[in-house]
Amino acid sequence: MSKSLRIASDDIWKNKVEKVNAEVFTLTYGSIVAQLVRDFKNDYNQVNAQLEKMGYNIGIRLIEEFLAKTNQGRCSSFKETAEVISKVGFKIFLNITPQVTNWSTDSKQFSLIFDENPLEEFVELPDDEKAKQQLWYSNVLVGVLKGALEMVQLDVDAEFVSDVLRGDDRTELKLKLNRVLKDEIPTGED
Amino acid sequence: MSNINPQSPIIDFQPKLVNSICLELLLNELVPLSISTTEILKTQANDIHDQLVKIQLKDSYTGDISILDSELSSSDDVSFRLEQIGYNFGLRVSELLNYNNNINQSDLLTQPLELLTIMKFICRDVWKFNYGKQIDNLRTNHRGTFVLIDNEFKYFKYLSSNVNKDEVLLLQRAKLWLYLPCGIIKGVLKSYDVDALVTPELTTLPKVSFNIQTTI
Repeated sequence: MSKSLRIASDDIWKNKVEKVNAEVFTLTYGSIVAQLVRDFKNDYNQVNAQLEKMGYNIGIRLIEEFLAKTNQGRCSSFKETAEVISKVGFKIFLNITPQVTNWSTDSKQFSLIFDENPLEEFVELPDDEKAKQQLWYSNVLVGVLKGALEMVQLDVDAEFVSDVLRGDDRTELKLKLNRVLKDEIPTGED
Repeated sequence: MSNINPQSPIIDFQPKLVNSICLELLLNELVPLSISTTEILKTQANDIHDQLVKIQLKDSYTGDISILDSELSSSDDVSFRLEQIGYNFGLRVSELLNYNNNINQSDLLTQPLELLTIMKFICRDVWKFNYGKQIDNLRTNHRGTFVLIDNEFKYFKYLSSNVNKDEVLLLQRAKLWLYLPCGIIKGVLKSYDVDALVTPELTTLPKVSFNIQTTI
């Protein structure tokens, strides 16, 4: 199954999406983070929160584009969701395929490992220890995943647990399924 | 500067690409982000009672366009913040473009700099890099004032509004998205050590113009 996903999403990436130079995207994001750090006077927790909020707003809109381009139906399990996020979602938007790994025994939690991350090209964190301990530079992705998944009835927790920018070995984002939201029928409709 | 042999290193330079929707959505979020940042900073300065009231308000803004109704949306803090993001971007873009195409830009690097040459660099290279097209019209009075006109500003294509009927409000809102390119222009100019005042002008969508007053 995962092989056919890969072929299909390769095709979408190659033929169906308009692309821009990643440098514009990277530099824009970098300027945003830099400005937030300045605005909040190096209070990195607030910077993380703002990035996540911005990501959420992006995620709830991005999912429409995802559904329009992929014809992806409902996933039968969270395992399938994980595959689709990595091999289709990240592929058609950022042209990367993070590894899915570290499954918990109840299959409700996994990690995405980023070998490459367009957001973090040419990036160095500020030279203070506080930034290395507190700032999650790519935290916008956390928000995007939460927002997008919420729109397909999945309530998840997401957080970075390590980042190469901080000197860690790898960049890891952990996703945990809280619950599947019920389809809510608007009042007055059957 | 070290001697770099132009023949040797990056021969098969393939620029990395991302889906353009990512950039569009990111740019769209800049204005709400700046408004919410301004709001948070304001509340932190105020007393606790105020803070409680505003935190409740703030939460309802998530993903919502109602944040644009905030009284702060037309404040200088917000436009300044947006301009700063552009400014940072401009400084770096200038460096990057000069590095990437230093062959085409050799006149920029070797000859004494004419302001007009820098402006042309903005109109051609910077605009193309950002918006995939060049500026349509560049005017100058030859005394340090320039006007750049883009007849179809790319990122207006992706914005829609619930205030279409209210022309004045619509333009006022759309204008917020122009502080970013203003900052970009400022940043690029600054990278050549030119200080400038850049103001956006918007009379009919999607045509935009930028007035640039340099101190030279």
